[in-house]
Amino acid sequence: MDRKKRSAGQTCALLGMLLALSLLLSYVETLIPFHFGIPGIKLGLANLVVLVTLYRLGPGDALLVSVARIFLAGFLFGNLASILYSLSGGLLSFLGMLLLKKTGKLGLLAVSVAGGIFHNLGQVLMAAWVVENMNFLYYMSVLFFAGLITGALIGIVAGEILKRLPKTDGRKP
Amino acid sequence: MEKQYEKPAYLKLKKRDGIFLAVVLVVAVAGLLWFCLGYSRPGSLVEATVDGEVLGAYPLAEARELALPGEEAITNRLVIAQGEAWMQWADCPDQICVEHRPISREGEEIVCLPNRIVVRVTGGDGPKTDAVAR
Repeated sequence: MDRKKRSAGQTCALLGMLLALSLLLSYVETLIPFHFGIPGIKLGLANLVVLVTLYRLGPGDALLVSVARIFLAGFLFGNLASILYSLSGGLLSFLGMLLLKKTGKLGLLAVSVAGGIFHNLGQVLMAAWVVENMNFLYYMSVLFFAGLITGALIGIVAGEILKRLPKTDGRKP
Repeated sequence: MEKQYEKPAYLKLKKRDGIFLAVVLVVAVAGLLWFCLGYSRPGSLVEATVDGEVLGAYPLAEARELALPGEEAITNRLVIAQGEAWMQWADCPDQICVEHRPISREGEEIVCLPNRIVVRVTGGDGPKTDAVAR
């Protein structure tokens, strides 16, 4: 739905529902035992919602949903420190995806892969900034690969959703 | 008649996407290889730091339990046994350092972000005494 044509009530309902969905996915993610012994490797299920929102509604709405989810999930399942890391990862990931999408040269899968990698890069950068003598490359070498895999998985699923999800005005996708 | 469904451009894999993904894959595999090969030498010492200040270095070959950063204010417990070091306990809620796999090879490290503790394996000569064989 076009941002300009929406009423405030429609915006509230639409983005509220997307926020609830991404929050639920954050919770589902905490239930998946997904430990590789290297911290920071996770699926990033909530990014599904951000991607679909970015492609269907636009960057403003996607950013709003993403940032609101990070704060809510942080207060619900994490702490102030985890909000800080999620935020640095989430914002860098969003910025990277948005810029790549804006070029118009790359498709959803490539944008999602970049998002996964940028997310991990943002988190490791924040961690390296807090703990100054941390070995940045030790973590980044593994998390780069992890970001590629999880970003690709999320990109494929987001593509399948976008293929099937009707437009908000009821038109076919 | 209803318009035929047209696949949006962003769902089509173009040549540019293939090139981008291939380059990223090469970088990722190179990083992973570097990670596997670069951290293959067994270390001999475990060095613990808080805020960049060295608390001490302990031989990997000697089993011990350490209270970090000190006995006065314990935030983490580090265990060294069987030639490996791992974080047994941390006072923070996320427990990321506790879930980190045990470290034993030179350059490997466990970071506790909330308490700003870094535990790193140093000294590439290998354990001077084999803790298992001893």
